Amino acid sequence: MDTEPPGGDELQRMLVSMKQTVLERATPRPRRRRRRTGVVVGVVALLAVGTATGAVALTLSQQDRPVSAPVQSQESAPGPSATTPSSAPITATPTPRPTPTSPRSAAAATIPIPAPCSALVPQSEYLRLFGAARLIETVFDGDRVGPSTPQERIDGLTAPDAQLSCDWQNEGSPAELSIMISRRTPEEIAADEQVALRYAGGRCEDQFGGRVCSFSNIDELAQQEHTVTIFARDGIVVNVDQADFPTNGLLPAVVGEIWGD
Amino acid sequence: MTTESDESIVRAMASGDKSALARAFDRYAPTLTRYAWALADDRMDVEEIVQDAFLTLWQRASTLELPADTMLPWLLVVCRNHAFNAGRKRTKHRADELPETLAGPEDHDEARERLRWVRAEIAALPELDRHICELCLLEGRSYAEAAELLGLSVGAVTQRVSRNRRRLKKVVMHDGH
Repeated sequence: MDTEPPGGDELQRMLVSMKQTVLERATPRPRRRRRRTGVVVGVVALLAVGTATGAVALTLSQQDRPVSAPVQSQESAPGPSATTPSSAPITATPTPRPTPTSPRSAAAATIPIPAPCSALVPQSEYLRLFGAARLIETVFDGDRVGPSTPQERIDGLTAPDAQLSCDWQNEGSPAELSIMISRRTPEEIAADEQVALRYAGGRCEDQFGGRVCSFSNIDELAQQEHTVTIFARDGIVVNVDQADFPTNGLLPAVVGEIWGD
Repeated sequence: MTTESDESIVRAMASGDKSALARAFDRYAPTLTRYAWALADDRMDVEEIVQDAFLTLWQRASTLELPADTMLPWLLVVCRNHAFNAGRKRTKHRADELPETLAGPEDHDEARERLRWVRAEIAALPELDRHICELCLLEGRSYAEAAELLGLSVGAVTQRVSRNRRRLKKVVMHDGH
């Protein structure tokens, strides 16, 4: 519209009306989706976990509150003529993850995570699985962020908090494959499972001597489907995330290299 | 006083907390309304676009990953997409009244003009968020393309991966200075 947007009381009235409509139309999606998938086990696991991370814990009771005018409940919301955005005070600091309530398993500590990334699959399989895709390898270990060290390429990653991140990207294509391997507590693994099950079509099953969860998501903005597979065994989690990247036989190949199956 | 982060609000929404949706609305609805005002033909469309944007946020909260710091770029892109969809619906509805040739994608100047009432908000965003807005809303790139150009990740990736990439990016940027 060519006219100026409304301000003052007129804008406030508009916002109150829109807010009421939005909150009325916002259905309790997470519970309904979980019921549709029939994952009773997931609910039980969630109740058992109880204090799982905020990112995945589901609020089982809705707390619908009376609709209030934005001006009454949000101090930082900009007025109609304000030039300071409400988002300005937000910092880049990520919300810290809650401290795990149980230690990583002894088995996880004794099983090394292979390094470098090319060691995740048998050499004979590398070309078939990754072709000529560009590989970016990153090891996260405390404050250290960088490629694996020569020692790690011999021994694998053995530090409790060490994580291996491998990203393969095809030049000039949005196709991408990411593998992240880390050690996780049982609570964290249960939380991952809940995340997977919340997606439409998300499912988990016992496979390869561990637990495999998978889900897909089409991001309407990215206009690209990502498929995520999370494999957990002995406190080690292999997270495979691919977009338009063939992964036939990838997980068993990785499992074989880590556990020798 | 600490300000609740957008990431925290999105997480609360993902867990079904409607009050978090209300907080997101309070924080960004005025900005989205001003942006939608430049996109829509009438006030009813503005309301529909803004409402649909927040409902999309609610529906996508469990899968939404903020590649940068705030949800405003994402909301603005969703807002624009809803506006274009509304425009397409109207175009279809009024097909008999229209010529066969339809307008092509809007150009850079037109896109810039549509941001005239939210420029201050975008200018004050953290750098990464601002770049996402520029790439998506001015250059017409998809959210995925913007993220790729900025070395970020969007889509159904886990927060863990995202967090590590953010750490990596910070280290790389730090080393570069």
